[in-house]
Amino acid sequence: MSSAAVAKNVKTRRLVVRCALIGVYIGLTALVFVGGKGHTIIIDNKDSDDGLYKAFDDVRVGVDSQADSDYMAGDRGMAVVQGQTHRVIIDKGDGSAKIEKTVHLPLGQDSVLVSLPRLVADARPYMQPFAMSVPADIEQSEIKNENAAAEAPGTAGQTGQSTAESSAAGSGAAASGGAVSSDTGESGDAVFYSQPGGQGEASGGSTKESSGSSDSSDSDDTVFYSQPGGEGTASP
Amino acid sequence: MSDGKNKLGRFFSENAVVIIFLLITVLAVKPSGLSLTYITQEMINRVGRDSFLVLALLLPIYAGMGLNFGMTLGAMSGQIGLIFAINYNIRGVDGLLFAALVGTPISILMGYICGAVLNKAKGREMVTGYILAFFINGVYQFVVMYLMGSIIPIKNPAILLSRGYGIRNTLDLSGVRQSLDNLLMLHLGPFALPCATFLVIAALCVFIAWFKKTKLGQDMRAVGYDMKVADSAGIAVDGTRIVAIIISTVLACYGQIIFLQNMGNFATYNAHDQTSFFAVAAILVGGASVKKATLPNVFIGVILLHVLFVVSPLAGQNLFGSAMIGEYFRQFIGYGVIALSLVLYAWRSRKEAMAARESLRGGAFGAAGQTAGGTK
Repeated sequence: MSSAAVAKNVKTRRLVVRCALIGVYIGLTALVFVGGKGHTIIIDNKDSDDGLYKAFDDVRVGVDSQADSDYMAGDRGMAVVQGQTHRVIIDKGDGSAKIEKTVHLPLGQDSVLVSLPRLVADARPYMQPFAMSVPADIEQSEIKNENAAAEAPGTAGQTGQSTAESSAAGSGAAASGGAVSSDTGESGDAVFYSQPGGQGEASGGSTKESSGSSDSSDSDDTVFYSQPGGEGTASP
Repeated sequence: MSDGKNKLGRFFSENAVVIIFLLITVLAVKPSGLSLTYITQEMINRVGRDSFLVLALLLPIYAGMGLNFGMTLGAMSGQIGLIFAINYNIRGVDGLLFAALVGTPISILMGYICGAVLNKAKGREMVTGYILAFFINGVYQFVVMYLMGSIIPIKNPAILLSRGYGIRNTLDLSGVRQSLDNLLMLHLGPFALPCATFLVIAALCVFIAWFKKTKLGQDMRAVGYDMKVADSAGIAVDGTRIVAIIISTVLACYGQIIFLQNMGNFATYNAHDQTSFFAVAAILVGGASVKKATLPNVFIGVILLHVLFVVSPLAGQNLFGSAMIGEYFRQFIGYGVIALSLVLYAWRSRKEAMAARESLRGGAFGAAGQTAGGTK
């Protein structure tokens, strides 16, 4: 074989190997994406809209290996999970066997509301999308901060990591818990979950992460979940 | 006798920064009133948090490029990866992996740009890297503040500003918070050891030790000793330097991800600003210089610097009634250590150059000098 042919072979092989590596890289990214995708399951123990399925009076519900929570009739709680397939274990507490259901969450849906009575009765659809929005005061503080940063770009750069370090070492009062937090930490630990369907008020006390407080004065279809302050605090 | 004195003097001059820092730290521990258990646990946390970033500085030092202030570029890449991980709500270790997978190609590109620029500024790599980081920071701000949400698809309302584009000032990493640390947490008495993080750091140490022995590693060291000689020996000097910076930038990307997952939140627009500064301060405190650094320098430096970071605010509070004094002291020490180390390095280099010149004179002038000295 001539040296030109060998060189061509090597080039081709190299190209194939590189393409394969890029393919593996993209595949790995996709795998991590699917496997790590987080979802919030809102467990809703209320009568179904059509009135066919009644809420349980007192029931214990666990998702995967997470701790069980108690749900009274009308309660709503949430579980944060990773991946698309999950087990929901329901213990009615009346001596009957535990009911185990498997739910498959859509990849593109961050939050879903699962109606417990419909799930137990296998009445589809027992799951519906649940939209999440951010309170206006957080929006305003963010925009204010962003405008301030845009007006004085030099000042932003001077705090940086040292601030994070110092807050970590000192008071430990860095930005806290929710999905959003402002630099000032004024309202950073609050997230609004609102349901498009217009279902009810908050209860939320039965979950580990959410300690619900309702904002029913403004709108009935808005539920306010707030996370404990220390949840997202920077570790010292 | 004079030989012993010389040796002692040399030891002190070579380890001046470490000794000064050690003294200050030891003196500050008592007034801080903190228990040794608390300080030890803090050090365990902080070694896990910062060591990876500091280790990223080693390869450019081997390649004679000094302290890589351009590592900030890698930190920005890591942050972009994390923004995407939060946007898609990818949680746990998977979220960190996803951030690393997104950040890697960006950091390779950034490293290439940085290496190419530094090759144009041989001999002035540190200041060039520092200024380059400022420049790329502007690009980062533009991308994150204007392109994300408008051109780059970001849909998560929790991180997007209400105007529809731009990322919020502070992002909460609760989805990935301490996921690596908690993956394999070992509780030994009063201490909690994040073994998974330590394993990752250990793997990087092994990689660096192995890499030094490879042909590329040897090439880097040859380039670091003398670029002209390396070039004469057929080593692609510019290419080797670019590879060193690329690896350093990619490691900085991973380091920043590890750092931020430990912190649990990050300031989108300025979390990376001081990354290189603190990493450089740590490695210098550990006894490294612009030309020479080892693995132990990294860990000694991280521990010493962070002991001071932990104790100084409380020592300031207890001694002067104001924690701010400790805070100022901490900043002062951080910058001061870099300045002191660079000054000592320059002084030592000049001294070595003079000694070399003297030895070259050796024959005629040296002999004449000795004779003259003897006559006196």
